[in-house]
Amino acid sequence: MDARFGSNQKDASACSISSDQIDRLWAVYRSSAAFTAAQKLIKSRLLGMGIVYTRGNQLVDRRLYDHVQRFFVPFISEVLDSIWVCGFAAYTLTTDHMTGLPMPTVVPPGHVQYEIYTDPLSCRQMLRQQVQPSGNKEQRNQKRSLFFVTKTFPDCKTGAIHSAVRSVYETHLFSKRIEETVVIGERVRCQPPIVTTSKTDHQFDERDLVITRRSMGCEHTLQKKISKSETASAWIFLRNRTSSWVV
Amino acid sequence: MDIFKEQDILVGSLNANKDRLADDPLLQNDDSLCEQTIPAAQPQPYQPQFVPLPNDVTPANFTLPQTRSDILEIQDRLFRLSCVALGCPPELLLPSRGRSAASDEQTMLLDYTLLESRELLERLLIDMYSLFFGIDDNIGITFPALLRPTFMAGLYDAGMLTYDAYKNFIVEHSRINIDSLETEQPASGLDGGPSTIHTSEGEHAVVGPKGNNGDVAGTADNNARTNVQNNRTTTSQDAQHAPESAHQDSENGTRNRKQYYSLPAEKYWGLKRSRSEDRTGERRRLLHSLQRHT
Repeated sequence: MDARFGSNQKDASACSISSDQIDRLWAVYRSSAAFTAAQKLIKSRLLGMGIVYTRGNQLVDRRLYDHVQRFFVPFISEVLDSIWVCGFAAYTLTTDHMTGLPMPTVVPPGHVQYEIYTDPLSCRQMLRQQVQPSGNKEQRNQKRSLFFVTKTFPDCKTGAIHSAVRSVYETHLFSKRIEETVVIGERVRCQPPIVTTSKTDHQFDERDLVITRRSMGCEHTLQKKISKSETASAWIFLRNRTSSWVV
Repeated sequence: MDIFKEQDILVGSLNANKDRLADDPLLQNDDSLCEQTIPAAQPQPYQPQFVPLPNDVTPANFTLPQTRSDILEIQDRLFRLSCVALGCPPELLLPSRGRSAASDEQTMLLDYTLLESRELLERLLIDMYSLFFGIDDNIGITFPALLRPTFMAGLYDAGMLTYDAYKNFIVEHSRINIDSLETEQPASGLDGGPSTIHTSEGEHAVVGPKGNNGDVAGTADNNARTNVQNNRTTTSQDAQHAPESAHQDSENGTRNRKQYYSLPAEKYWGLKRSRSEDRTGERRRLLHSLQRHT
């Protein structure tokens, strides 16, 4: 685990981590039933009865014990989520004004821009908050004291994330595209169109392509063939027939 | 023009119930198909609809898209891959027909996932404590959920845990009202069988971490068993420190036994052990510890 404060030192070895890919991984993680079921099982096995700080096989403090069960257990749950999705988790450590005990908080996704850099002396990879040196004062004030817990570092050259969710991200995309295709195919099967062709005019015209389906980013076109001398009423007639009628 | 006008009237009369199709979410041409998954409750009776074709057109050949029969397999494989990526055996979450239950290797995968996560979180929590309160080398982290009820039952039946400690653990783990539990320890074992002791050591596989197979380690010498009264003392202990409480109990001398209890049932001890394993390692250490404390 690396606990480093964010730095605004800009060097050539630093590489920005795209927040877009983080958002995409979070979207897959939150929408997958398998991920939800698996993380529920692991968390229940691990955090089902809370966390206990001990010193020499004794409870540290009863007040700290209650505080840990109330605040640390949800924090640890979010840390696990972030590690599974991003391979690392960034958190802040503040003080609870009521009890004076530490209050850790995981930085929400998309809240902070990260970058990975390699220390030239130790050759260690580290994460830090990315701050634009040319930004205005308000942007520079957004720099926070962040701590990182890291399981797998992103790629130091491309900023690509290595994590458990990332390992099956392409498979999720493939399955999603297949499902979309199956849904569109079933819709066509449920409502088969009548496709006609002209007896006289066989010349192709792009204006004869009528968009009849637009679903999930895909456009499905059917070609209507009408003679150029037909009137508007005939055009509407043909358009309705090829797009709506079920026989 | 008259021909087309007559065709419009004809089509309008033949398809007067066209509007009902527009109300069907499965037949709408928008992107909300996935959200509108509730079909019509009562399908309308089939009514043939007629569409006259203009004179200059003819029906063209059109092939309907084929149904993909492998979509369920793809989804199932994706589910399994996602579970394995997180380190969780998919058989534990979605047991499917034709596949056996979670095997030893799959259980080991979950155990390794828990071990890896526990080590990572321990370092995180200790670092947080050190950052806030200062360095303290004696600080440790305990995840009580990793102590399973069957494991505690095994400790109790092995004589290493008091009944109260086991009962408190069950109350904490399963949120059972403590009044609904028996206040007195059962004269027989937890499985209802007779509590027995061994009069000869070395022939029985006894104490050790349990697995999930249901097999008892080693061979039990039935001739050497003798029924005895289970006279464990009961002391109130915190369930979070059940093993420690048993240890303290033994140190205080409240347990007056010179022999250890055998395993009551196979369901509490599932780890396969060979005879060679029984004679070494953890078993001998635990036997020695038990004898020393009693």
